[in-house]
Amino acid sequence: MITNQNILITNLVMFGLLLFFMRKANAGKIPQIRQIAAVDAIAEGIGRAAEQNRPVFFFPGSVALESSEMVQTLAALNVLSQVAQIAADKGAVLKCVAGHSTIFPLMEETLRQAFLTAGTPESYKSDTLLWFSDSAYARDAAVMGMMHRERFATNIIIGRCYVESMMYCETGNFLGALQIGGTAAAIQAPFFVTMCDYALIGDEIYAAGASLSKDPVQLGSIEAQDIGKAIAIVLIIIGTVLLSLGIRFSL
Amino acid sequence: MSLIRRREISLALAAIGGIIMISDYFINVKAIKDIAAMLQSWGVILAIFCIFLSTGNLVIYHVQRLSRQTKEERGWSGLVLLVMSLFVGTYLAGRQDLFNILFNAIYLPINQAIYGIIGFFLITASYRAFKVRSLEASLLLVSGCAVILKNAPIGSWLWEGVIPIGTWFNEVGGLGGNRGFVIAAALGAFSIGIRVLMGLQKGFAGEAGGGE
Repeated sequence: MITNQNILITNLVMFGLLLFFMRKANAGKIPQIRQIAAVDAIAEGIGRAAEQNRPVFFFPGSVALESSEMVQTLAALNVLSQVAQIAADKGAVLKCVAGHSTIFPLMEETLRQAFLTAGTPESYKSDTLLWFSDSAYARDAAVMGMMHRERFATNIIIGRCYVESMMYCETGNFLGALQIGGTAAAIQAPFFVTMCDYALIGDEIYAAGASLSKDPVQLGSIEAQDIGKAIAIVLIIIGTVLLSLGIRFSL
Repeated sequence: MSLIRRREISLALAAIGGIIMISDYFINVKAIKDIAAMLQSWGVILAIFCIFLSTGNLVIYHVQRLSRQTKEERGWSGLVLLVMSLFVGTYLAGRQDLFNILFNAIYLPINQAIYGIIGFFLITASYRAFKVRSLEASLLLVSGCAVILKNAPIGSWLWEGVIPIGTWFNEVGGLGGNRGFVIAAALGAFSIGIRVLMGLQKGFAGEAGGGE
């Protein structure tokens, strides 16, 4: 009746770790996480945009709500919430594009709530959040055109992107924008590392929102992730040694 | 705030849906599988409503741009094409030939043209990436050239030794790094997924995250 037992065990262990560390952080023992340059650059970039009186561009990836990679979009929305609050605080204009129509309502709610929290609900305007098409190239053409017209000072592109990462980042580079990119997709990460001024690599996109918000629960879950990574490293070393000695076993 | 708008309800629905989908993956029970399949169908229906919502936003955006009446900001083409496609696709639903003309004669060529732009972007991005500015950039240049020459026919013609070097970068250096990347990203994804299921990740449901 129970299938995928190995994955279930791993998930239960991680679930236990998460519960423990989130509760610990909630109790006041908030972990310190290292400064991520790209996260620091977000506030700097928004400030720069406000000074130059040019808008900030945000794109949370192009996957649909039902996609298995949607979790990257959730991480991006987490960052978006903080980006919107910083933009409202610094008086910068934020323009976002929903990569897929199913993400649109989530982004709308995130932005409205973030501006409300920042005390400037009027910052949310009809052109704060845009959707052009679910078809990638139609959207890309519209976004690149918009980038040229609006001359964004800062581009923040976080989430599961495909070919648009190159299109938006190269357009941003042409316009001299400060570019912050991030993805947890191994195949896309090199594009962001190459083309952006700052890149969030892999699980850093999940930590970015926590780092910006300083939310104890999120910071606690980052600590649990690190313990999970430590366990994975130990298991990899044990597995490598056993395999090198010719000892094989399977669960 | 009305009962329907209460955030707890949306978060509870998200949590229940998530738990059912996770159970479907781990537990082989027909009833759970049926409910999971039904939820997926509901997801498709919800996606259609999202398209309506997004299209409404698109129309408002273009109408506002039109009303500004400045030459640079006039954006009538998008709106006209949207209305025309909707008209042909719905009112003239029986005229497949008209829709085919729109698709094959307008949409596809433009699509291919945009796709073609990637070639230029690849060159400019590669030029910047391969500039030797630091030790990391130098390593990228060496490994990148080895992999390019391994895959390009001219590589083996120039020097046979480039094949095992390029293969090593692909199958040892690249694969090892990739696996570490995937493990870390998977743990992060699991963490955010659990936060959503527990209602602790609630910005998208109309409640700000922490830190305020």
